[in-house]
Amino acid sequence: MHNHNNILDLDLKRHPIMIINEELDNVKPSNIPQAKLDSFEKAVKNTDIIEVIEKLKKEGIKKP
Amino acid sequence: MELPRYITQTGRSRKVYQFISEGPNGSITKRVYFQETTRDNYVSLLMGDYDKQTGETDFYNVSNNGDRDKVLATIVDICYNYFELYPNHIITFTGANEARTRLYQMAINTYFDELSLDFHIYGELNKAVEPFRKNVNYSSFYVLLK
Repeated sequence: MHNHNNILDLDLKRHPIMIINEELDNVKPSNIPQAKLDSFEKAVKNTDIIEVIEKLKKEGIKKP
Repeated sequence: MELPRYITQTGRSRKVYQFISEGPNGSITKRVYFQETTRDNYVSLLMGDYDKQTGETDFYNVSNNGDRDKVLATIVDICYNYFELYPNHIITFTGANEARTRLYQMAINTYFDELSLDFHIYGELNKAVEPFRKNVNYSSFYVLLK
């Protein structure tokens, strides 16, 4: 049974129910596929989203 | 997005979330990890099925538990919650395979108008990042708060 004091109603818009479970602070995923991590590293390496956003702001964003 | 969503647990650091998927294949513990990358403020979102007996997470399993939309809506909840603590972070994610990546893409397609009120959503196409467009097959996605 969850203690109501531990229930965080954090987002006023969506009202998701999030329960604090401090055991999850100690979780270290040990078996994340290296290929997956490598693909993320490769993806973020040359990606500057902020720069892209600033550029689009200057050019005007076209709605997809 | 007023879809049903699962009640979710998280630690105070909000780096790991978990919820229980309920469906015809039983109760399946789903874990979502926000994994730091070597680039500041860029984190990868990974989701898998957590096995309490082995303590391991299977990032490739397809559980087919009949609750796809509820799971996706829960992940959106999780992103909102994560951004509360880390508003400057950029979340990147991709599927475990092409089919899963297409699934994520379809979900973004479906809820794009609502999601785009709060989030910038970008897709990676041929090693370049562009604002998400419907019906384009991206290899990965990026989400950040507006």
